[in-house]
Amino acid sequence: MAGLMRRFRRGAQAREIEAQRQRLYRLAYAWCHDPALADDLVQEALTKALRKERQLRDRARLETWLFRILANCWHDHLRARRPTDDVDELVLGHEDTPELRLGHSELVASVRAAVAMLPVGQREAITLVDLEGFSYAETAQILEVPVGTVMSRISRGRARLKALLQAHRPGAQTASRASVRRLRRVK
Amino acid sequence: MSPHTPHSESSLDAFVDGELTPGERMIVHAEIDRDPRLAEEVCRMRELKALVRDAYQEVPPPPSQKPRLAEASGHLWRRAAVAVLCFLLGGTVSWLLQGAHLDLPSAAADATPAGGRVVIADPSVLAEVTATSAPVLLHLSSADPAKMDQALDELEALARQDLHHRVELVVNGGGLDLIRRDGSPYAERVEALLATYGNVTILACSKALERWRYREGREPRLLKGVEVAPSALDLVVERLKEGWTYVRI
Repeated sequence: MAGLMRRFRRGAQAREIEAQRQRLYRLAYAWCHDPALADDLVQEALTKALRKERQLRDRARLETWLFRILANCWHDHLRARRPTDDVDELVLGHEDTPELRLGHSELVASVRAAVAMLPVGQREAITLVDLEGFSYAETAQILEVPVGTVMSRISRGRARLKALLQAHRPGAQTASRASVRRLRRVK
Repeated sequence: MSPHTPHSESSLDAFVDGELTPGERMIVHAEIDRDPRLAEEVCRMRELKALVRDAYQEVPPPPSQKPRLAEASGHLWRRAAVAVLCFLLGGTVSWLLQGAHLDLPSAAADATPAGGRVVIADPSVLAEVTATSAPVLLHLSSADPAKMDQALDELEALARQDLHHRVELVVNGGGLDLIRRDGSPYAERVEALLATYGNVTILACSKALERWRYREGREPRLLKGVEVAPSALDLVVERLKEGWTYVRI
């Protein structure tokens, strides 16, 4: 009977994990801006989560636990591509996909392009807080960094986003291109 | 949470993110009341948060669920963009959005014709595209030889149909393989197409070439007649604003 209950609880938990797929996908997309890669990362994270399900003692922490697995999959992917670089400081010159700018509205696309230009660490902190509504403490747990690091990434990331979006003002296009070039050179 | 200097940027971030203790919040509120610049800063930060949140409310579906054919008209984008602006601001205009909407077709609507069409290529719709009278921009970013073949077939069909009809093909990402002098599977065909049809232009994205140079550590050599565009993305946006049909292969 106890075994049956345990199995029932685990089945429910597996469903809860699966129910988070859409949120995980949206966040993974905000990190990599590539639907196929985002889909792969989520699939990998869910597979790992279901395999490690028993490790999760406290079900109240399901969300941060799942997002942490996703962040780890994303970091593994980046490390495999750029083994010598510090993942958090990576600035990926994002691929020129017209979908990024034209798939939705130009405004949404401008914001996405600006987010895509943030160093990975700042991009993750900002999307976890602004998009998913996680607290600084939860974000710190997900990214496995101190709370102070989350705070400084948020602060630097917002300042940079603001500058990038401001650079899009009419007549300021040259400035915008120059700032993009500057950012790319950070690599 | 550790005490914050009320003026510091990160304490304002913590304020808009709801991370301050009630006591700390009161201090920041008092500061905001005294200093209108601070109030403006808080307002900008809230807008920025809202922009980030709204930018990902609708994301492209995973490839497994993506419809094969997606079409939109410039008119629809304009409407969607305006709707987003109205939704975000409730009619008020803010500095941030004034900045961010620069590329909105509506901003230039008086000066340019209505935006062009977007077609994500599918063999069944290419015939329809061929029948349009608008100039066509094809875009290839894949190294898949089948896609290269499709792009060249389409380019040739459009060029042959009407010699005054301009057709451009822009390549970036894996698509660069098509126009590399060393290793393009269709080198002869590309050069022959360019030599035969005066209405055909093939361009490589300079940003993609830059990445290629960085990755391979040497200069890419392009096939004869291939031109370089400053950016594939800017070219696509430019052409759409001019009323071209854009086909993603």
